[in-house]
Amino acid sequence: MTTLQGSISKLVNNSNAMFESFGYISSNVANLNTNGFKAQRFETYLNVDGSLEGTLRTDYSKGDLVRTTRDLDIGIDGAGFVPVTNKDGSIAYTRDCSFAVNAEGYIVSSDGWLVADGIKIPANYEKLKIKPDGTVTVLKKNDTTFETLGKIPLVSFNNPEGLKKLEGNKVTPTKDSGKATLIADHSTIKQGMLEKANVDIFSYVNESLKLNGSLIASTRLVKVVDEIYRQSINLRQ
Amino acid sequence: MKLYGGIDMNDGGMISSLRDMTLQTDLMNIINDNIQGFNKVGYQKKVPVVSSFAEFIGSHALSKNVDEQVGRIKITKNPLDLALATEGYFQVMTPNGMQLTRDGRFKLDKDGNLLTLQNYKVLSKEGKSIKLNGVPKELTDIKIEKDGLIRYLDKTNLKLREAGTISIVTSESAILENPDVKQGYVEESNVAMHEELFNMVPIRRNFEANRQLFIIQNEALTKALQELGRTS
Repeated sequence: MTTLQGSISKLVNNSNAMFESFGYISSNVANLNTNGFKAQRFETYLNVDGSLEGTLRTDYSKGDLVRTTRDLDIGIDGAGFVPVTNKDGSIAYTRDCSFAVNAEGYIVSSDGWLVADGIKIPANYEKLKIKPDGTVTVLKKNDTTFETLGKIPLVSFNNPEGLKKLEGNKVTPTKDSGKATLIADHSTIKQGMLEKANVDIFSYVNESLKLNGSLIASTRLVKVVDEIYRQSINLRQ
Repeated sequence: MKLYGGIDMNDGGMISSLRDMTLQTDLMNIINDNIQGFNKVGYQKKVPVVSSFAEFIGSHALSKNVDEQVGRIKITKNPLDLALATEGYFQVMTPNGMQLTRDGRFKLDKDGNLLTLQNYKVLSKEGKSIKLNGVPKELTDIKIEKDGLIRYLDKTNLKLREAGTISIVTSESAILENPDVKQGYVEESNVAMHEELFNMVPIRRNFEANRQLFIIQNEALTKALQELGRTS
């Protein structure tokens, strides 16, 4: 048997969980145009004893690739992440591969992290080509053959859902995700493409309608239970 | 109770009013659970049943039935989200023993074990946990058949491998004939929100009526006690 206080705390708990879910929906919608963004969901579940719990999940399915025609934009048409290195040597992984060249001539991510352990590009080149396996080649003036400069590596994790999200659209491995393993033989890197967010904006309309319904019903029910509570206390009029 | 002076006082009425108020509160709790479960995956509606003699035994006359109707099936596109389009339950192993659930939001850990959201192991038909040897790089390489058979593509030698059949049982833990597992969908609850809010109205009114009756009887008792002993 549950008490009236128990009922009220259950309803408050439910409202809080719904609010939390709303928060993640708005964060997903806000990142609709962030390249390589992976949608997050706050999944709630009821335990056998009726208590409500939730856990945060990240959907690592692939987003759509769009053509940009920029030489240093690459899209990954499949699983995997590109490792990037910070100035102080820490490594993170990203799928936001809108790369650029920094002052020293190295390929860097959009917020200045070195791609892999540094691929240097000469100052004057005619053409830059990134092969489907990640090999970066350039054609210099008066040359007839492409010169290989390095390879953009691609790594995968056994359980991407276990990865920890960092700032700037990057992830770092944890003990749940498993170690990064190099994908040796692949042809999934597409030059001149970018991966859009895997956010399905239309499903959120339905989702937020239901969240709203649950939220309103819960807060309304708190009022009703509170009224019963008050009437029980004032039984002797 | 017999008051001094031979006047009968029906205090049994007061107690049955109180009893009914507790019963209505418990009914309210069930509605509360249903409303909380409205948008929760795999929740099944509880139906209160009040048996006879509730006026004497109060809350003890109340029991709950589970409505086994299939709930709303929603598309998610995640290959490891499963919905049961028939009656039945998945079997999962928790630290407190085996449990049944209709929540089919599963995931793989780094070793390839099939787990629920709460990290419980999903059981196969043989009663063992399910493990995929060599985790597929992409979840879309996993195909789950109508009867719960898991197949996945091994990219190293391009072979379709099997990882066992998910156990689907009835509420009595007997194997379910002809289950219908839908891959890429989840089942939301079978609660109809408006029905619960309609059901709430008579419960509220019943509570209020009993409260009013209690107050009236209480007043009568007070009057009897105060005025009958008066001599002047």
